Amino acid sequence: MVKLEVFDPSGFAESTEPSLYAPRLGDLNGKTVGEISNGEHGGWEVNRTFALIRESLKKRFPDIKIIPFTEFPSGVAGIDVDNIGDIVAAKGCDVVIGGNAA
Amino acid sequence: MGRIEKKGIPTFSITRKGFTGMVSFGFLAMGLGLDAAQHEYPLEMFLPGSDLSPLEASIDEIIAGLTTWQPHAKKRLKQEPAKVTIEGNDYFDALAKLNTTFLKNKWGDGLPVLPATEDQVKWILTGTDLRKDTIIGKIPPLNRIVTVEALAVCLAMTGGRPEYLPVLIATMKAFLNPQLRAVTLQTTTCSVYPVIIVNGPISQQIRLNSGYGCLGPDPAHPAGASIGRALRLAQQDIGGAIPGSGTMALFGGPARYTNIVFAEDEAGLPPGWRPLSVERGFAAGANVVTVHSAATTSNVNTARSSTEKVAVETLNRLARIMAGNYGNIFGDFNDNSSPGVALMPRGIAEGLAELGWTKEKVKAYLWEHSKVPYDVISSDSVIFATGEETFKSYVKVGDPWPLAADPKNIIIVVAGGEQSGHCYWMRYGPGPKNPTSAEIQLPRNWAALLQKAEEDFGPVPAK
Repeated sequence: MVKLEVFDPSGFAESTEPSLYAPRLGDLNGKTVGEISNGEHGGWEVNRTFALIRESLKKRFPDIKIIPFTEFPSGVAGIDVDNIGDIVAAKGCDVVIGGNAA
Repeated sequence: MGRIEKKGIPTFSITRKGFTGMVSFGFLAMGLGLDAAQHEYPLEMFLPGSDLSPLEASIDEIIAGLTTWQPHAKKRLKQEPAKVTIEGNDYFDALAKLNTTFLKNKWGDGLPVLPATEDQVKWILTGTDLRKDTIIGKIPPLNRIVTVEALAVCLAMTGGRPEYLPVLIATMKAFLNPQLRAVTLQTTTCSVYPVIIVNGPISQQIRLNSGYGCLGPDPAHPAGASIGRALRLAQQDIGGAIPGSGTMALFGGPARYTNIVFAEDEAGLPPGWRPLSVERGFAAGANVVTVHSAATTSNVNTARSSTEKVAVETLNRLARIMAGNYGNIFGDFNDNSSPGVALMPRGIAEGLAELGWTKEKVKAYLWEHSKVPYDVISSDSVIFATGEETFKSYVKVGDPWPLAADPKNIIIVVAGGEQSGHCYWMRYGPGPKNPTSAEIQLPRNWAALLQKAEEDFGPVPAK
């Protein structure tokens, strides 16, 4: 028998922190929802998909406030920035829905 | 979205079919887990006039993602991979089983790999003075850590030698330079791959090809294939660029097996034509790698430079090809973006130089004659939209769009067989449009490594 002992070529991983995920709110009543779009210039039907989500959420939560994606940077280059968290926080977002067709 | 989560703001991602892995990798890259509140929808839902009922039917899930969702990921500690033991009836049987195992683990590429044993990797590590646990960086999208040892493992799998390791280390540094935006190159739907151009005496020393068949394959110059394939295995095995999950390249392509690794034909540069490395700010004679991306290539025939007339016709032909397939260059256009790499054999370069064409004059000519007319680009609505606002800073509305902000951003490299007859155009692929460079560091025992290579292969082929 021949035995080959070889390296696993997949490098190694660093620790991950599940505690870094944001705690969920329990409820969207009275909350502010921000929309973030990765599609540039209205691509991937973002006008229609986000409009549908807005309408549905407003029916469920009459006090909800929704800041549309047009009020934030959009496109991969626009949203893939280190301070995107600061940008949405500055607008008072409690939650963010990201899309579209990532 | 991972950045927003880390800010304490819950997120939910509207994802299209096939991209949930990519979204999860994005969260992993941010130091969260391989997990995200998201829902996958059919691609058709995102097309004009589509049926949005799948979205309507998932509103409860969207709400739950923002209000009650919990990640499944558990805390992981920094860990190094274990070794893998393969047994066989004889050496060939063990090797065959190793290859089968590697394919099942998604560590191979379909071509045979060699065993990266402790002895083999130790031998390859003699190609650097760096500690084997030196961290080069993290390869996206999985953002797993790549060390010097990990690169030596990849080289061992591709039949590499110690004298290739300095080039691979420098290449990985340039690849992970944020300017190259490797995460986009790795994950895009475009079938893009790295192009690595090497300058300096190391090219000939390690048998990198700058002449006939410089883009491969060539048994007399095996270094490029080994280094390029080792890079590809690192992209896949460490970075996670698996088709359909880590990389969404629709077509892939043969160049992605070994990427493209070659040397500039510096001996063939006409007087006054500077090497690429010097153009990019390095000292003459330095060993340097420059990394760009390529998605498509064109062999430009017929190329001549014996008279001014045919030289201009050749440049016009090259410019038309450059302009005819502009790709996404206008999307992230910036002061330093480069639309690609043009190869000219020394026969063409010498002819141009004798006619009075400096490299700068050639670049200026190509830049001017590869501009895309405004009526053409404005009728290509999707591409036009990506650059419309940006270009207002560069040209007047209505003027043609150049492929680069400055002629110097068009990369010209003298390489290929010595005669005239053809040029070559390698158009960049999505990622950033800015190439990157890194100096190659040689170990103290360099002369001994080259001596051993000469014992194994014979004298270095003449330039």
